[in-house]
Amino acid sequence: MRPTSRSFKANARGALLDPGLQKALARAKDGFIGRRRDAVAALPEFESLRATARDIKQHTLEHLDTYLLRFEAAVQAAGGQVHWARDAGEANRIVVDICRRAGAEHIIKGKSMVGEEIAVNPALEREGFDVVETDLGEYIIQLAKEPPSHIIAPAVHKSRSDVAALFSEHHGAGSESASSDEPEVLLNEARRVLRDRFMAGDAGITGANFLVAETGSIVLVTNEGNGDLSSTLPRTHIVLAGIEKVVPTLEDATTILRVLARSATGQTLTSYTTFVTGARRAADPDGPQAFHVVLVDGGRSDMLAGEFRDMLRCIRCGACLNHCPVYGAVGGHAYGWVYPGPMGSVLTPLMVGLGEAQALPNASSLCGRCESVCPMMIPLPRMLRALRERANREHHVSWIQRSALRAWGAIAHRPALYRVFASAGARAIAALGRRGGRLPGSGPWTDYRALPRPEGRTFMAEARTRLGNRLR
Amino acid sequence: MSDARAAILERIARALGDGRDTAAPAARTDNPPRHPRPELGDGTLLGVFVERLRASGASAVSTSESAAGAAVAAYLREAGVPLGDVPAASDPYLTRLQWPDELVLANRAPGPTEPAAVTGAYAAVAETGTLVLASGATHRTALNFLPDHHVVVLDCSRIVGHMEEVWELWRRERGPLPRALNFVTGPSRTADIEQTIQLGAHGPRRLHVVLVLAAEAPAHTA
Repeated sequence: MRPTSRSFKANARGALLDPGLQKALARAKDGFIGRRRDAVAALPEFESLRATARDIKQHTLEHLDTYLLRFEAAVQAAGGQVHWARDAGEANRIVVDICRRAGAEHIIKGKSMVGEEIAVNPALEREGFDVVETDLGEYIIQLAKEPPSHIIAPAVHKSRSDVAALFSEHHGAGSESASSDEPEVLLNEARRVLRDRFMAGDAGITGANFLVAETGSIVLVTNEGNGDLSSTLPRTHIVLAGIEKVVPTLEDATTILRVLARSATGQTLTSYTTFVTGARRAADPDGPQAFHVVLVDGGRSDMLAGEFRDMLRCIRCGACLNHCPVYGAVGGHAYGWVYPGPMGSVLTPLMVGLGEAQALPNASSLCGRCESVCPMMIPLPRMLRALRERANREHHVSWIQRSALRAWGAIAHRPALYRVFASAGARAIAALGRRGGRLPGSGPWTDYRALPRPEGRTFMAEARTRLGNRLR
Repeated sequence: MSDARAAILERIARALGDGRDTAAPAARTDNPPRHPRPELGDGTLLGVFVERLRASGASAVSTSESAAGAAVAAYLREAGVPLGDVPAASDPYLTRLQWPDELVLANRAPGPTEPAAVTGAYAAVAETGTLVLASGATHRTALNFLPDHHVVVLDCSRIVGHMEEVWELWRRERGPLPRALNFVTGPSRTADIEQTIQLGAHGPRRLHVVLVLAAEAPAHTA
């Protein structure tokens, strides 16, 4: 998908004026925040588990190549194959090639954010394959031809009547969704329609929440069961995973699972947590005969090298989105690519380029809620600041902004000069404040809130008066 | 794409630099670390398990080994499932139970609109109220996901405290992992339509557990 992150401001303005979206966002936010809070409150060990989870992932990243090789060997020992892809194009060619060799025609998909990242569906459709998303949210947005607006609730921006309209359009005459938008009716209709697609699937594509180096297992964390049907019924199972998904052992995966579900949906464990290890065994009565894992780099090895390594700890739980005041106001589509919210504002510039997504690191008040709820303790505000600095350094921001920042820097570095400007500023604001609290040229900003009215003196000047000689 | 493999590994090695403890990963995978596990609180493993199983949206009934088959039949009858041909796992634990004549368990794949299936479980985890279902010669994975009602007959001596104990148990009893190890916690669910939690998205709409208590324990309805 082509990023539209450049037009973040216009996207955001549109989102703020969309009453349906605002209603959906408010509903989702309350649900997610409350469920996580209750789940965390019920587990006194949560904070110490976060620290353990962070340490596990940090250790893994420090030995990433060794663990990936161990994972590869273990997959092969279990009868599977591992493929390596430097970028989206390579990953899609591998997937197309596997499907073609398998003689597949119909492909069923479980939710995969890497799949969104590399845009695997259009790549397969261009080659003539029939691809259907089976996660209910993903299925809804596939019908709507939209990208996901949340990493764990892709259709969170759709209302039940939107869903009913999509279903009755695509499910043909006589579908119940034509006359009802009850969630139960819609769910049953989707279950019935997708059940036929499951049975006809030749190849199943899923993501992976973890790759376990010890055993070569891939871990699927879901609630609907669609990921399990996609990895059980077809002849071929293809797993898409970023190279950062590996963890050393089953014990390590288990600890991170404890913070994942609680942070994402407020569950202690999702309905289905599945460890898939290789292909069907000789005596097995079901399961795919072929098992492929496609490891995707897509900018991750670059992140490993520098100040953004911590971002590779991300387990895609969505907690930072749910707690972000900016995401809560504008929703996921405004961010213009597949990863929204604070994690997306870090990942998108690193994956599609800062020139394309320079607006995103600025779409944050740096309030720090994201870091405080992140189960992997990722310092998101620090990384957003680092990206702002980089954008300035690499001239992705306008000449006027850079000049202003340079001027500010020059003043802030010289205390005497700074005091002159600060006291002039304080006097000016005090004068404006006395004149009714409107700031000329600030647009609607001071229409709805009064300009602060400082006393007209700076802190330094006040201190000098009060402390006199005691202040050097 | 061996080019890609070499290139990615090379980039990672360059990013990580020299001077790493190269023995650490093998030491860890050979001897997995013991991380802190949450306290389970008061009560027996069975008590904690049943409480959390119910909280996950599953139903449960406890019974003796001799009455387990009848308990399965009673649940299916109540649910309106025809008893003449119910797909089931063929593991020895299930097959040696006494089954009422009217309930015919079939060792076959479930169909796309299968009303019900009956399986055993490898183990269960008290911490989360979770059933552990392992694929293998006697257990088709599709039984866990296709039917509307999934009935699991659980030997309660297989309940452990935490997921880590399942790994310890499996390594000791079986060795390499099966193709699929499903940790199932309640019925299938979704909140994708207006954040309304609904059961029975793609997997079973109902999960029912028949808890088989040890022979000496008195049977009662849990």
